[in-house]
Amino acid sequence: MAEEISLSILSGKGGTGKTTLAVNLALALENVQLLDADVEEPNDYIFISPEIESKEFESVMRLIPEVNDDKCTACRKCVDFCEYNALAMMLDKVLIFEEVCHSCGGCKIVCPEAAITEKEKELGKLRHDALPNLDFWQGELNTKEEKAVPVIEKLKTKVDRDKKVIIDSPPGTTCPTIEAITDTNFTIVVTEPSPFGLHDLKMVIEMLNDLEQPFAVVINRAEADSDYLIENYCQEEGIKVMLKIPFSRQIAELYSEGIPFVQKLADWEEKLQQLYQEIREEALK
Amino acid sequence: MGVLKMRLVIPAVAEGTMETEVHDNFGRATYFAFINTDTDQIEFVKNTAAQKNSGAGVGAAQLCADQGADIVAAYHFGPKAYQALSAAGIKVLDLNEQKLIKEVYSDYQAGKLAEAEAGPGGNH
Repeated sequence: MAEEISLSILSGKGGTGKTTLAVNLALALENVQLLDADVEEPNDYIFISPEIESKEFESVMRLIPEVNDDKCTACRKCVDFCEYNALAMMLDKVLIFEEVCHSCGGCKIVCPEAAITEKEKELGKLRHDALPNLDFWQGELNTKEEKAVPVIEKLKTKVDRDKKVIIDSPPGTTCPTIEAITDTNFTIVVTEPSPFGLHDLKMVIEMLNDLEQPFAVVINRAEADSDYLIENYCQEEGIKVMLKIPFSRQIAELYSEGIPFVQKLADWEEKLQQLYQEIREEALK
Repeated sequence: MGVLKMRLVIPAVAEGTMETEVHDNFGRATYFAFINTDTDQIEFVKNTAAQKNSGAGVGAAQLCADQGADIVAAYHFGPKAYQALSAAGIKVLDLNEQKLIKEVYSDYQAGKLAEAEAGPGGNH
């Protein structure tokens, strides 16, 4: 069997076309695993598995402290230790703010009275759907929770290296994005030909260079009179633009109806397969 | 009830006097003005929580509680700050259009400040 690679799809800002590319590419290929790691607003499922929320899920848990008030002497060591102000001491009683707790467990360690224990709290969920040719996983962060990284870490334990792995990453340059692309063989950065698109593309590329992650660019909503914004920059920097998805009413309408365009528009299956071949060659270099 | 010495806290943009401007956010205020309502004396305490990435409101509430605040009057309380101040038994008052600390203080003395409810920010 041919060696398979893992690919992460990324953008500097939301709304540039990560989902469009991830979903259509996944559907154009065989023996694929698609993982939606954009856990704050996963939306690949709309195109792949619209009923996924009715399926069983696996919880991703985290630990948060609990204080035994009978043992607590109000020494404040835990409050002083917490860098995130997840604990406060009010009228000699410890208050816990679960949302800002980073689950580091430090308060439990510094408590001289062993008054702090930890309890599990659901941070997020993993959902799964096995379609013919496409193994789909989705990570999702619960409402009011802020820490996306543990959900992405858990999602990545589902990676199947015998498949063509595609990870739809969270946009931007913060920890969740880095977690999602780490250990993937190659990254595609999706951008749009606008000054905003270019600005955010540059931020992402700076991050990818710091991580020494190989990558190439795909332009979404491509238009003849504005693509130069991205193309000139990429040419100067020696970055490959591997594909352009045109700014087309037809593609936008299909998207708004939750229909992957690869299923409706001629030639796209082949174009996306070619894109994957090119990615694979670059990744295995 | 007999009102003895009360400590009224008002977020401030800088260390200064009664003429200093009110900061429009509780947790991120640069300084807190502490007014002794018995003697009208004012002192300023730096808000060490303001620069925190996370939990500034809780940190600021902790500071107010530790400094013996009885009442806090401000424009914007996040839900966590509100909860923390309430747990400390500190009375929380809403501002409306006061610009200077002295305006807040005179409105407070005139009984014009209403009690705050849990602030916005919890539903993001």
